[in-house]
Amino acid sequence: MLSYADVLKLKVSLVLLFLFIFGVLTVPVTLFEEFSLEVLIFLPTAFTTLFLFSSVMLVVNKVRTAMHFSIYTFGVLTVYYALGSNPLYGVFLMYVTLTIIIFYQDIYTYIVYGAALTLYGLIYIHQNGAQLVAPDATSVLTSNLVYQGALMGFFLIFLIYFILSEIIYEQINHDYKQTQQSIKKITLHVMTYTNELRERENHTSLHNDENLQKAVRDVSVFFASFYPDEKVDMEEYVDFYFFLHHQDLQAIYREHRQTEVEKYARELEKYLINKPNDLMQIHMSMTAKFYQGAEGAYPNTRYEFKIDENYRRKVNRIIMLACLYRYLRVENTQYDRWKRLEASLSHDDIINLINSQVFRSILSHEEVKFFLENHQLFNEYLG
Amino acid sequence: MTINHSVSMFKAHTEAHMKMLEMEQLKRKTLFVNVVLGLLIVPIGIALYNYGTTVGAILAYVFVFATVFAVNGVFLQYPAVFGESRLPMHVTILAVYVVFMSLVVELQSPGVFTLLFVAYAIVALYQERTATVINNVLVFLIGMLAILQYGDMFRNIGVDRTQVIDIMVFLFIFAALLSLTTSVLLKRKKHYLSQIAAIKEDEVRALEIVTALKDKYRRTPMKPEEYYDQVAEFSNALAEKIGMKNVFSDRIILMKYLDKQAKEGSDEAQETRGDTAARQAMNEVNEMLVAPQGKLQHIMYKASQLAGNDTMMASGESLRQFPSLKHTFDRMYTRIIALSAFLVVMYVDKPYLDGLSVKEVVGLLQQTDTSYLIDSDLLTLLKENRDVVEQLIELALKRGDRS
Repeated sequence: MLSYADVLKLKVSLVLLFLFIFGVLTVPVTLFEEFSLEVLIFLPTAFTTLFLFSSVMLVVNKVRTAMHFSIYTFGVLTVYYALGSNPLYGVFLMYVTLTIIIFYQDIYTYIVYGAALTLYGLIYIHQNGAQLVAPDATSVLTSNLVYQGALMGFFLIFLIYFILSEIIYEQINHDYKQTQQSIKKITLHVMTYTNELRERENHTSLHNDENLQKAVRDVSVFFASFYPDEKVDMEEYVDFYFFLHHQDLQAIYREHRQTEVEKYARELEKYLINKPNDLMQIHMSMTAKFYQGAEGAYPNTRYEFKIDENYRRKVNRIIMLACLYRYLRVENTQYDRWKRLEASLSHDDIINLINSQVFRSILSHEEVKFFLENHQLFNEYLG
Repeated sequence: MTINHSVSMFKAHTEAHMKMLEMEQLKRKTLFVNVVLGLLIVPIGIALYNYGTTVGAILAYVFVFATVFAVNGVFLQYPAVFGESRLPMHVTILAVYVVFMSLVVELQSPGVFTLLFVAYAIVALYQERTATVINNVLVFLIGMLAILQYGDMFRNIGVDRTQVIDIMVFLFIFAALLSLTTSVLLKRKKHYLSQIAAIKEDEVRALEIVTALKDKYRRTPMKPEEYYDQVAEFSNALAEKIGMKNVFSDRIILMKYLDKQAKEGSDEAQETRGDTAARQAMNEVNEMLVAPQGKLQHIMYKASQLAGNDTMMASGESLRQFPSLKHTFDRMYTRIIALSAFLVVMYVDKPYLDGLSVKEVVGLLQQTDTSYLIDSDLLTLLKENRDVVEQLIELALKRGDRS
């Protein structure tokens, strides 16, 4: 999957290629049309200059600047055609230019340039209306209103298109971020339980296991042998990596600010095996794929955690609310002061939790209201 | 259950979820398309009236719009009627082009011809693969037909026969650029949907893992019957407080019974006879059981993790920042350590899963989009030398072959 910057670069390259072909094939032909001398000199020169500037910007990797200038170049081409002998070409080229702006899929670019172009188009149609309709047309005004309405409609509908894309993307992104946070927290708990269970069986925690350290060292040295030009000693680097597992990293960053030590520590922090960071999240995600998940058909509520989405009957929802309260009160789901998962929530903690905005992903307003009206009963019988 | 089965179940669930997400999005887009069509009725009506169209013809347009709204209304309200088909979308696309083609034929004005671009824009709102294909084919075919059959409307404003070809070229450029735009958008959308579907399944599996581990970790087994007894007492007090009959007790007794049956290994909790409504009601009760590894356990565990987390929504990664073993500014040796540590941690036995061989991990990586995950050179090295890497890990951990 290409990054956003790579995709934009590809798009600008395509637009410039298209501009080049279009310009080379059409501009020389139009020189024979009825343009004023100023137009014949100024606009092709402006087109060539802007095109070259856009290309240079692309080459020096100023991709967004190149994008803006490619749009200006197309704008100049549109004006050039609009001033030509047949205004219909000008109108059609306005659609093509709008399409180019749409092609970049950037809502702000579309709003600014698209609106400016549409406004120019509306004025242009108003001023050249008589040439855009047949001589025997019954109503020049109605015909021009159709031209203008179509252009305006096209601009507005594609604006909706962008808004729709943004809404969908934002929703997915928000959902993704929340789920990622949830997995991060679960990963930390899995690591805590795993290490506690290992200790019960008289094993050390993973990062202290000398055999595991040796395995990481041996594999790293093996891979490093394919990169003889690297200046760092791999064995020492692996030792430093495991050393970091026992350190207060913030203290290291403070003490070794802007040194190689800080740089290496920051790079390695993401891959420590005693923190729910990138490496352990990927590990969680991979082992989850191999884990024997629940059997059976896919129910629509598989990824739904809201009580009212899972349980349609009110009676069931109240029972579930009671079970949930009981669970939060008696089960050890929170870290205690020794960083063990041995603490539960108090009645006041639960009231705060249920009142919090983030808990709307579990309870609806109706259930929250019911709980608050009866919280003493919950405390008395389920605490 | 084999490892391959687990992985294929994972895929099956994510694919099913992707389909559901696509259907939800389609519903939203359908709503947008219908609002736009609704807004167009008035200007189209005014234009037809001004061009002197007969009342009968105007009524025909009204009929087409009404049909579209009716079909889409049914789709939005009762999507199950159409199953997985995209029939309402196809009906709408066809209707949009019928209306706009009729306008071109009836009014034969170059201004009306530009309405085809509006038709294209409306259908583009669906942002869907088949819709895009149909949209391109129709705009091009209808555009060509209008140019060839009703070319006079252009000639009347000074466009000669050869210049009509220019209009075709414009039409082609227009359709080609917009298809390219939509295909880029669709590709990204598919990527995002697959990512969200995968991470959702990751979360459910992670919840299964953590609740199983929690159960293993506790020194005394969980006693669901204590939950039911206390909830029963609570329900009595609640019924008394609000002055009504206790409507909860039967349900709680049933839950307690089913939980006990499930614990004893009876299939009764899963097998339910009767009609669909009875089965749905029973499924709901089955999902209410407090027993470990039930849906309720996942809900309760997730709920417990929201404590002290009210700022959660503000932070966190985005779809453009996946956890990775190759961040942009990492040096090669850092990437090497990340990959080595990952392989070794995967290899180690866990309380919830036996360790995975390098071969199994490489097998999974081959089925995954690894472009953002692992340095491509290192991945190639790993594939070419997986036996060596496996042996190095085995020797260091002093274990036998597990593959």
